[in-house]
Amino acid sequence: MKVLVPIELVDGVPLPDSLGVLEQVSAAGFESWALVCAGDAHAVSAAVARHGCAGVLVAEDDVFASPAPAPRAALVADLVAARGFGAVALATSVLATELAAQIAARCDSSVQWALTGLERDGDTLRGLRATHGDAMRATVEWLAGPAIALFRPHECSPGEPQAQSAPIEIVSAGTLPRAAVAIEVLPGEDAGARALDSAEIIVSGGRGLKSAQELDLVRDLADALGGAVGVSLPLVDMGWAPRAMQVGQTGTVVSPKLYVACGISGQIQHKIGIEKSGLIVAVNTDKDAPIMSFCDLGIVGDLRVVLPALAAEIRAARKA
Amino acid sequence: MKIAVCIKTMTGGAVDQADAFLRVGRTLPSVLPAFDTHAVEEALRIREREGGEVVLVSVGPREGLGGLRQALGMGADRAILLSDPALAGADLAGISRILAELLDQEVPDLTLFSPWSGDVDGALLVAMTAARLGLPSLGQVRSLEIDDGRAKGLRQAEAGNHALTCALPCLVEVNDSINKPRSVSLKGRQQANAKPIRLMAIADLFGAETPVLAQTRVTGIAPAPITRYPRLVSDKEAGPALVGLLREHRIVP
Repeated sequence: MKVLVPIELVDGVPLPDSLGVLEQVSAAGFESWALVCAGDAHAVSAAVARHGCAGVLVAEDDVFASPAPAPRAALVADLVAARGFGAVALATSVLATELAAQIAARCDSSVQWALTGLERDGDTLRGLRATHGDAMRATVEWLAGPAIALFRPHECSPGEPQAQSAPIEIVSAGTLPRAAVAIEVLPGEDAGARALDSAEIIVSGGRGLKSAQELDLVRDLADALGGAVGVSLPLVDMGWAPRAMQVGQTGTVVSPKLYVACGISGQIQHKIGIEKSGLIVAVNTDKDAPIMSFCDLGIVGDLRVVLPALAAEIRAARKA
Repeated sequence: MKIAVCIKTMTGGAVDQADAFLRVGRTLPSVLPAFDTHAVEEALRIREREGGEVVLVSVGPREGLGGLRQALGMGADRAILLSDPALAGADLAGISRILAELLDQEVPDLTLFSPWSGDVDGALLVAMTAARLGLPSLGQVRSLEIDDGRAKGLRQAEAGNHALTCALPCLVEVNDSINKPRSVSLKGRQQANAKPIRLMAIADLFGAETPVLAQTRVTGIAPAPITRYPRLVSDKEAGPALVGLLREHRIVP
């Protein structure tokens, strides 16, 4: 089965999540095709072609200078009909979610989301979906095609680019609808979410903190580790930190190599936001807090004592 | 201005403290999902500024009436609840077909959605419904301005923030940081009982031509694989345990 994977670009660079989905679809035994839509797609399509796909389709049009999903959805629907793609797979992002929904409406088919994998059984396509706050996996099927499959955020990370390059084909974008929604990407200000999205180490504070000043303990440990600072939802609600710093299902879904949760009980929305992290370390006075069952190292103790001690220990280890 | 607010139905649950087994009751009346209270609040604020009416639109079981009464108690003017046994297996695409038809009949200037109820769809439903109606949609916004026939919103995306604008009529999904919802007053609760709620079935909307309600299905469900095996330590052992773990994973030298 042929599967089309639209590649999301940020500042002209492919989003790692998109490349990860492209590789995952190939690894599951499908013929995966990347789609690159850009004003000038030359360099980026060559880079995408080295991520284990059957080919890269390239559409160049001024309309793609804006990240708006509408013209992309129209193009995908045309390609699905003209070239017989059985499925369209995407990595969840703010824009990809809208794109997936619009593709489904145009193709008169349906979306399954929060997917952790795609499998094939002969000609039947199956998705695995995280449900019940990641406690369960549902197996889902599409009854009518094309199947629109939206992977969880950060579910698939790409490997190193391969030496071998897939063929690149220019497709005619035809006449695409102009987007009815104008999207302006605001530069600079409030870069918190972006910093969290790409951070390798994140230290977060939660309701275990007794005051906004105690966030300094979290900042100091983050500083010792060379990481970014996040918070859980209650701290945003109390006005101790801006929304851009919020880690969780309704904030930023993160996947650092190391996530340290300080005074965070681990409500389901927070769990969903961090479960793709490498190592999870929790500091909590309550050994029965939910987070203690989905971490790698649980430190039972008062963060006011533990955090300064950890920061000192890490700094000593770095010096040694 | 006519503002529609799409409301999810949710059955209330509460632990019965008198029960020795602390069982969760599942036959309680429905409640208004917390996220939806923000959409209702935003609609009421726009009505207070611009005039007009706020219509609640919901697709789900009859038990959803409790949640709608709560929203009427906040100040919405009337409600429509479409219930049908045929909805049992409906998926996102099916629900969006019904919502699109309901909105097509109501013709609001602005339709508000809220994201998430448990682990449900986020911004998919608003975008899919808007696409069926041929209207623009703004997803996941944390601020909304209605001015001069246009909607303007801000949202946080993976790479920087987005400033979004489109012409009315449109569909907008507001997230929970947009406002602080009002609580329901006793007077509001009393008035809610007198406000009209229209109950409909699929046939009332589509006649004999039932739309396709499901194009996907769940064929199985199993526990997720266990990926972490927590090791718990006391604060005394914390330092060496953390440094050891980080060294093992080459995060510190």
